[in-house]
Amino acid sequence: MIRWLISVLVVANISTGIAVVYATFTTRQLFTELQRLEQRDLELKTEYSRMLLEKSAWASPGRIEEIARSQLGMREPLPSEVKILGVSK
Amino acid sequence: MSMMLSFWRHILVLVFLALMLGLIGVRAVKLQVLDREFLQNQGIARMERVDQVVASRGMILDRAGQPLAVSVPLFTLWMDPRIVDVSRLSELSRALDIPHSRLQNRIQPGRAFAYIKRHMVPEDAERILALNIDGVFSQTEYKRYYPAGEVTAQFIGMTNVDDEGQEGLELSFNELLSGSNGKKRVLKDLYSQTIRDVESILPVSPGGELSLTIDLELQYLAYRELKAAVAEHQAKAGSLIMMDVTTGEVLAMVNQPSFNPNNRSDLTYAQARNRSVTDAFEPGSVVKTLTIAAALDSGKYQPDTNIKTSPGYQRYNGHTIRDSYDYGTLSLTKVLSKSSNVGASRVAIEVGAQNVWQTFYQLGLGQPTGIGLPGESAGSLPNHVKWKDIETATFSYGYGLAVTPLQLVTAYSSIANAGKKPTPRLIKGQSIASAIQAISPQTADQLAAMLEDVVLTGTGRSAQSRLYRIGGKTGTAHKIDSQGYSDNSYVATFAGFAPVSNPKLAMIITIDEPSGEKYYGGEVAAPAFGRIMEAALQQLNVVPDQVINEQLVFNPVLQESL
Repeated sequence: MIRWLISVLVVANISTGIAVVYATFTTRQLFTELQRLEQRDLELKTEYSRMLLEKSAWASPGRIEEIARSQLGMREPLPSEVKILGVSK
Repeated sequence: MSMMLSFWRHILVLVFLALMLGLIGVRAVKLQVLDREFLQNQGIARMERVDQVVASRGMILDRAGQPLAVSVPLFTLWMDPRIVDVSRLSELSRALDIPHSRLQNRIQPGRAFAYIKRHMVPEDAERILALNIDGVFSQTEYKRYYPAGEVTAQFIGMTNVDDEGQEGLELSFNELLSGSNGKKRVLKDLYSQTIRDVESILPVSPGGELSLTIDLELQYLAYRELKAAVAEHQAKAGSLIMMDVTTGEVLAMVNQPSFNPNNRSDLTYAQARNRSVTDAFEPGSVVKTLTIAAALDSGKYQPDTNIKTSPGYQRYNGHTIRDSYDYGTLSLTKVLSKSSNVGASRVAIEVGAQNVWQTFYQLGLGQPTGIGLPGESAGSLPNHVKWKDIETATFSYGYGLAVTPLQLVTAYSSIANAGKKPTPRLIKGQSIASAIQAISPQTADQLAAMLEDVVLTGTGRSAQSRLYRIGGKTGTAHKIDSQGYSDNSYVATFAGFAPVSNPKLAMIITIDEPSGEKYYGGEVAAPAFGRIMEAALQQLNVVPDQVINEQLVFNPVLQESL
């Protein structure tokens, strides 16, 4: 009886020991992964905000107007060129 | 004999071993049981650190979602003076182009932290970190960028180097925008490198976004035109507010002079001021409209009621007030179109100062609008126990009170909005109190027609558009200098709305101290008003309510009474 109990405890002891080792190993792996992802997150945030700034620089109304007028030869319509489509009442 | 000797030798060794074992046992008990708590605490104190997780500051967006303020993560290099490798300081100083002595000075004994350089772009910071100097670390910090730059500078405001709001919306909504930094417990090794996250103590909550009612395209348009007008008339300053008349949403808010918030090395106080809400001024004739509103609301006057303004001047309590010309007898409508001081003051005295004051107050003068910008001025709307006639008279044409452009544009919005005063707002989606009826709808209607007459035949003719019917009023007010009212410094104003058939936008332009040849509101502010209003309505796809094909010519512009 005692021998049987002891052998069960020995097996349990060894298996929890291995489990602890395994859990620690997994934790380290996951922690490395987490750090890598946090780094990536920061990189992407940086890139996103830079893109956003770049976009608003290229798409600023002032620049669009300048290009429309000087390069594309656009202008506001004269009143004589405006046709108002009436809504029938 | 030898047996005895070996026996004792055996005993001696055993006793010695037992003693050693006992010593180890005692030591083990001391470490593991008696000093356990102390030692564990010491271990934690050496290894565990609480690190801050920096929250990013929320963006500020315009009504269409265009960014107006963006936080960019950047690197800040710092060192731990206790462990920094001093022998490589010169290498560091060369790589960063910072004088060696400056780095040396930052290494103070007893300190565990010193900045090396703040806000570096990732590439530069990584280049330094690659040198692998002991005791040099980086941390993430955020820096604020303003894509629209000087165009939106004043109301957006700015943050300081620590990313805390200092001015404008950045200040008044600092709490919402900044979010809260998180905290986490980490294990660090001998070289202060994080080796393990133990637990998150406080989750980081990033700052919220702030959506404004501003329309960036209209803001640009208004900025460009106002800047041109201020330059053309060599004025000291200028401001403009454009408002949606039904919702009270501010679509554009522009000030001149301005500054580039991304590079504030030579920022002056004059540039940073958001004049349109912080600067109260004596408005002059633009408030005659409100005097006329009081007259119409009293029931004693109709737009065609005749008022005698001859001989073009009038004495009250020993002071004389004047018109530019002797207009003879004018209808109430023409008193406004020609901006007659004598007419307005006679009307005000007939209606009663209290009633005029009441109308001004109900239209929002003399009270802060609660738009949520720091430093908003309430202006000044003094109410006298007993009004002298001269006080009533000057009050009726805009002297003896002070208003902000924001208050005036709100008052004009009320007229355009059938008498209901909208609550001015800058933050999209903000819940607001329902509009109150400041003047009767009938009065508002009659006023709109009268204001259109100002633009068609009166002092505001240069504000005309060929596409939209515009209503508005000019103002040219003497500024006060050390000698009293100055003879050659003015504030030129134009306030109004369009299209008159179904008003959409109200706007005010003030030009401070135009010092060119022209200085009347009708010559300085009105032309810019017409141009900006027409372009803005086109931009918003508002259907024109008139189409005039011939070129508009309005010279000379009728000069109003000062």
